[in-house]
Amino acid sequence: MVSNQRERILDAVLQAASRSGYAAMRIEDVIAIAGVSRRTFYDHFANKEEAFLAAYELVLDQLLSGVTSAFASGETWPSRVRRGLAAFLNLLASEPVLAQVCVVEALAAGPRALARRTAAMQAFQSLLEPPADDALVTAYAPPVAIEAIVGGIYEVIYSRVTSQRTHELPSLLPSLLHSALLPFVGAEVAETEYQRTTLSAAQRALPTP
Amino acid sequence: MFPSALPESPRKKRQREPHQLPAGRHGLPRSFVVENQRQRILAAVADVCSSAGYVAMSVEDIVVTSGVSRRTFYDNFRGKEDVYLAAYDEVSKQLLTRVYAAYEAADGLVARVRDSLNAFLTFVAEEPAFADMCIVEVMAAGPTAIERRNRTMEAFSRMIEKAAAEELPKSKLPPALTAETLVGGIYEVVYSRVLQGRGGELPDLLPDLLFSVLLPYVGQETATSLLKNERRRSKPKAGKQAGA
Repeated sequence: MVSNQRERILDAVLQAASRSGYAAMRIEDVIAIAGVSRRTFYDHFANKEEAFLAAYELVLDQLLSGVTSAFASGETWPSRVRRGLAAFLNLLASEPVLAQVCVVEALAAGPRALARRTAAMQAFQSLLEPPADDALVTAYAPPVAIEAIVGGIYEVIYSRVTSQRTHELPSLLPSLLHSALLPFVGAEVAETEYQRTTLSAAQRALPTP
Repeated sequence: MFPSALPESPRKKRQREPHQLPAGRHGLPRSFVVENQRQRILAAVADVCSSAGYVAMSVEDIVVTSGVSRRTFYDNFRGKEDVYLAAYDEVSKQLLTRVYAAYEAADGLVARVRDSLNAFLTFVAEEPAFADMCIVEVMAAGPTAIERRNRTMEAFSRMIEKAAAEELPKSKLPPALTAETLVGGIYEVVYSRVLQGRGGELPDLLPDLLFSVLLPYVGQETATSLLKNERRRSKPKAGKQAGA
């Protein structure tokens, strides 16, 4: 029962934060959505920031572990990036509340949330780091390139989520994949991956017989 | 909202500073006084926003820092969000004007991207309070601020796309989202430096960032030789500093 209450509160925080934004979110909204008393809220969390951080941590873990396991299922580095990125975009599109909290509200929730976000961006950067022994990794790019690629993908997602177009994210896979691969695998391999993902997206869009 | 997390309180009562007008009768025309007050308020927004953060910033802080009366503040602005948006518009206009000027003065894709990127990084390095306000705090300032930020980002993407389209045949252009992704990548690199108070280092990253932006348009070979040239170009400056 106790952990169930905590989960209900965290779920309510996600909903309230994504609906009204972190700044405008009130504890009243959270307890109304969760169906718990104010006292119960404070039994679990000292304040709004603590509750948000716990909820943010929860969805970040979900996001990172989803992407990491999809990434691990690929054989070559380009296929790992393709799978990881596809999982990332699909997860965000299917969970708009999670997307709003992880991508948008985390930047508006104060220094501790920002520090957590910085760590998450670094985790994505090290995940993307191309292994030197992969046969398809042929080109050199300066160190800041990885940071810029992760940031570029983040930006494209951020602008879709903030303009209520989160559902479009999976269709952006071919272009984002091209941007992520190009500096490390060269133009030809990047182009092949671009064509392949464009094609499979088109096939998925066809009505199933 | 985060009183204990603030590095320093912006609520310090200041003496009149050189740019502030004397109180009382001074014989200055009213229109000048009004404009001057407005500018002081907007400058105070950048100060307070970068030291306290948007969420913790209050109208009271702005009033104290700018040295205008509460009444004058509300004659000019409806409240915190309104004054923030006015300050954001003013600074982003300044920034875009500088970047456009560098872009227009240069010839061809490579020079245009290089000079406008350099203008952007230099602006951020020279104006830490503006950078904080427009790059970091804007993300916490509500949906209207975010929408304006998104439009500023689009303006930068369109500059790259325009420069590329003028020089390259359609068949040589990368996928449609490329410019947006590149601009976002630069933003993230700048954002994380500004957040850590290291905005001053950004001009040093010009060669590497330039490589990332140009690569999809000019190819590996040209981008690599530009990277080398650009690193050589920035080296003498570093050498002089080390020798001084």
